[in-house]
Amino acid sequence: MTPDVYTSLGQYLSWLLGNLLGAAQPHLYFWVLTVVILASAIGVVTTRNLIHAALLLALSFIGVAGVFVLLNAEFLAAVQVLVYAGGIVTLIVFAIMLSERITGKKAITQNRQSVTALGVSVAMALVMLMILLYNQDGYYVGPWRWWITAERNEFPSASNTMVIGKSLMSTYTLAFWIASVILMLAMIGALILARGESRETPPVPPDGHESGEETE
Amino acid sequence: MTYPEVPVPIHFYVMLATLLFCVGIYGCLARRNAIAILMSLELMFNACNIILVAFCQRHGVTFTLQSFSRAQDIESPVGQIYAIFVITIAAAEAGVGLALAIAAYRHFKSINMDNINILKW
Repeated sequence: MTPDVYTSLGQYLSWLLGNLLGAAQPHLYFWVLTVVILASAIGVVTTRNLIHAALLLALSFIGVAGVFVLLNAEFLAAVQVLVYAGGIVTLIVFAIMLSERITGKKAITQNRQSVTALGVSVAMALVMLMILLYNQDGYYVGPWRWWITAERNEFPSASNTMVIGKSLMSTYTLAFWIASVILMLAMIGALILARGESRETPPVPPDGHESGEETE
Repeated sequence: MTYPEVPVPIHFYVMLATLLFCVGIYGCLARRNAIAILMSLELMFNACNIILVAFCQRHGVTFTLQSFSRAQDIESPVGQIYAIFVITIAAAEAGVGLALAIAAYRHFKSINMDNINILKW
């Protein structure tokens, strides 16, 4: 059966493969979603075709929505699919189509700092994982070692959407209003920014000036 | 026969969010296209959302929900509410950022960030 503490990666893997469709079902979903999210995210930052990058971004967003479902946040998963995979990806595809020639040449999408950027991100990942996996005395406290399976929620998070709605309308009303004002300001700003050249045209020089110089 | 399903420990979610965030950082630093940089920013927002929801779910506080005549102890959804505001701000940021990208494209005839260097000293 399920041990309380897994002491090694191999033990965890054997438990995972043994109860793949039983007690380890959330783990199976988690790993599938992790592979989908990370693979599509790496595709987003490395592919040369921007339309493909946008579609992979939608796939990554849907994977994150699956993670939210796994975390009992159904309303947030719905918001994620509607806002991100529905709205933002559509906006990005429109912007790509407005700014790039689709049938044209493939743009060089990585700049000269590619190797440096890879080093920075890998170093940052290592530092954050070390902070996560080691305590301040240098001992490994990662999930393979101290993972206690009794980490279960005692209280139900039932009727998630109702609780979120009540909190948004009672405790976090001020933040809700500020967020709506920010959205309106962003909409106005985007309209003004994207409207483009309105009064930027230089004044036309008076007629006959240059020709008059030429005749003289 | 139903098994008691074992929840995924929070370390896994934090590691997933860490890796996603670092992929986003790589994209922000290495891409040249302004729209690709915005896409990497969205990946980083998603990593933050995963962290917020995971910690809210596993180490969250509880509060008593008073609905009409009965009181119930439930988990506080404060992390999910934070994530909702993050999604809101990300939507606003995407709109303004893409408008900026289109304005820059109209002005410079390209959205290659190496060419837009008028702010360099």
